[in-house]
Amino acid sequence: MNEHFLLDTNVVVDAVRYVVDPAVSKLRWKVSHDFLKKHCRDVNCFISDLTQYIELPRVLMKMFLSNNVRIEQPGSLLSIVRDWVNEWLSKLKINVISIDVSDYEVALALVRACQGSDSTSPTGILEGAVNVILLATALSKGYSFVTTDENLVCGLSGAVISNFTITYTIEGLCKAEARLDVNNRRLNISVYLISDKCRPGFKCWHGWCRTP
Amino acid sequence: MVEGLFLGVNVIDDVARLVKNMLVSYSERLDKLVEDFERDLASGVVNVDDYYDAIKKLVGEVYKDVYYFMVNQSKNPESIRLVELSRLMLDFYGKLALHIYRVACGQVDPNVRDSLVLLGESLMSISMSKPLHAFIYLLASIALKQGNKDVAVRLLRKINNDLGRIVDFTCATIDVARMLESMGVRSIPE
Repeated sequence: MNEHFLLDTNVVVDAVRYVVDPAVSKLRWKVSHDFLKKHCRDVNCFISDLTQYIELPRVLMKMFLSNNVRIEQPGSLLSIVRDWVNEWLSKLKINVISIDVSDYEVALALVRACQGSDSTSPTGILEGAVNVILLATALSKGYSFVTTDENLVCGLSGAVISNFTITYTIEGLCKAEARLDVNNRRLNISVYLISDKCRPGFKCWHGWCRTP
Repeated sequence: MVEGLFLGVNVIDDVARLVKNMLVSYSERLDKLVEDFERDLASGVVNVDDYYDAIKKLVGEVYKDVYYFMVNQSKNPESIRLVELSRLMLDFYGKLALHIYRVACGQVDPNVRDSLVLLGESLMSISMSKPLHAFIYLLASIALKQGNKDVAVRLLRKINNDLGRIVDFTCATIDVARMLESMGVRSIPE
């Protein structure tokens, strides 16, 4: 069966950043570009509607302002930006899924599990609350989750989600397993972390990513 | 050669020579392998499995060399400088690959476009320390250039890759980048 991937905002933007700004070209951007190119076939890569309607427009507005871009077309700024987002997604063949209340319930369970653990606290991971909801959505729908959020992955390693084992694959990419029990259901997915810190010897240490 | 690439003269031949020369610097045995491959392509008898096995063996030897170097020479100051230079070169290969993608995606002839994208992939793989992929992409590109798409597709399948997806995604990101550039966007802030 084809693996389905839920991507966080940064993964999608980094893939384009890599091509737009080769002079900077961070490892994380290169790996995101490579990951999408190799793994997204047909209709197996998704972002959430939260990413489509809130996160990507936020990134695009910041990009327009910082590059001093003039928008000649009159009308609603949000609808112009949304058109841009949709064109971007259609070119990259990335699909959109809706986050349901049932996914939010999994997010609540995830935070509860975090609160009940001795080794982690929800404070750190909630700084990236959108990504917590994305991870919960991926768990709920059985999609692999692809993220650049080191704090989320390392913040949840250990007791919060059992068997979060980080294994080194290629430089810049770590793979982990996420498991969560919700309402007598065991949810189990792969998590891919794209980070400059994913090198041999990578490990999570008290909620933080560490490399030798 | 890189200058020629930017000027756009004999693009595909220049890029093919450039990538081959860069990869041959990893292993001289690759030179002979490419020669054999071109000869087999011309006579229409390419055994993809044999070439894949030969490349895997060759990559194993490259890794053995690198391992030997890292274990025995890594504390030598000259070697440390060499490692730093290698990192710079890997970064350079990645940036050159991006330029090759841009040239490739502007080509009208799909065979030339796909062949160039695969040469870019080859350099990109080297920049990401994936020599097996780099060598396979080089051979697949040569096969495409000689009009043998079937061999290219079968070679790519060996590394679980799909020609259409690689070209589509690469050219889609180039397209998005060009659209942004036409609006005056030079970078996307984090």
